[in-house]
Amino acid sequence: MRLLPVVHDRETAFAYACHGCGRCCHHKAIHVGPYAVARLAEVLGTATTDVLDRYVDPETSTLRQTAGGACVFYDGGCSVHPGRPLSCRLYPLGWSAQADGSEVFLQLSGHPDSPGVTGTDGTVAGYLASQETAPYERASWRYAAVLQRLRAGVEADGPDPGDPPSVTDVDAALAEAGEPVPDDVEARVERHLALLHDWLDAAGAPRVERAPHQAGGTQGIGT
Amino acid sequence: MPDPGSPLSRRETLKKAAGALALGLGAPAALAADDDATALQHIKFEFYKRPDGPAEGYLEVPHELADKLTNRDGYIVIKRIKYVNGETGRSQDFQVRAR
Repeated sequence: MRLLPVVHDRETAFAYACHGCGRCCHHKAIHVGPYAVARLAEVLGTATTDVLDRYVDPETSTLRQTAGGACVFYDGGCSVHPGRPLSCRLYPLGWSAQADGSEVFLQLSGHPDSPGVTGTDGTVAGYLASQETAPYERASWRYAAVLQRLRAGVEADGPDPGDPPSVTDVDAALAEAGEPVPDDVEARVERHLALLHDWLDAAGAPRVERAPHQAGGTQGIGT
Repeated sequence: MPDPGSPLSRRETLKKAAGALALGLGAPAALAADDDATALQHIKFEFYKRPDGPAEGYLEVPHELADKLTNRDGYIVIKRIKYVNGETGRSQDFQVRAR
């Protein structure tokens, strides 16, 4: 007997019909990176610093929960749906990506009482498109490049450039640098990434090779 | 370990920044595993023979070992089932049920 986890690629037949039961909004650890926080801030009309202070557990970088285990943004439905994090968009899939460009999509079993229906009349790629995951995927890929450089920098000698820009708080990093905070979230994140790479350059952290991301975009070497 | 209040070394600064970013990205957090909360995180893989059948087996490994099983520079985005360990108050597990 071979026991293998079934994994999907973008062309695998897959469909999911959500019926909004909200079970996947309870008792889940929903991680949020800098881009997800910026998108939440955009929807909430506030700063990323405020989102991090009010809605994110700093020890785990996950969204806070109510005493009943609901996501802090669950109010009979998602109150921040246009800015919901990537893991919520992917559900019931998970996405694992590697620096060499390889990736797999894992399928979670739903709650036994969930009315959500999985099917095969679509593809993983189609599902991702319907959930508008592409900008989140690209941001994950680009921040992963920053993470890879941070780790490479740990193992390499270099000058000490002092404190880095905030790696999690986009608006704080821009404010610390004396830069205006663009209204457009993509522009804000672009500047944040540039500040991080500038600091890594100053720290002598090696540039890293990463394959282009499969969702497309401008990602390349160390960007 | 620096004295309290002393500036962080370059290496410690890089490690701290990497740890903070890794958490949000769902990246392997080995470099951030300097405290009990992170060290308690586990990944549990369940294996199925049939889509509608029971789990045939599972593999539960700490993040540190999971890092060795996957590329260190990769990451995973997924909704995780959150368990609370009564003793520590913040242990998390991770279930992937493959169909």
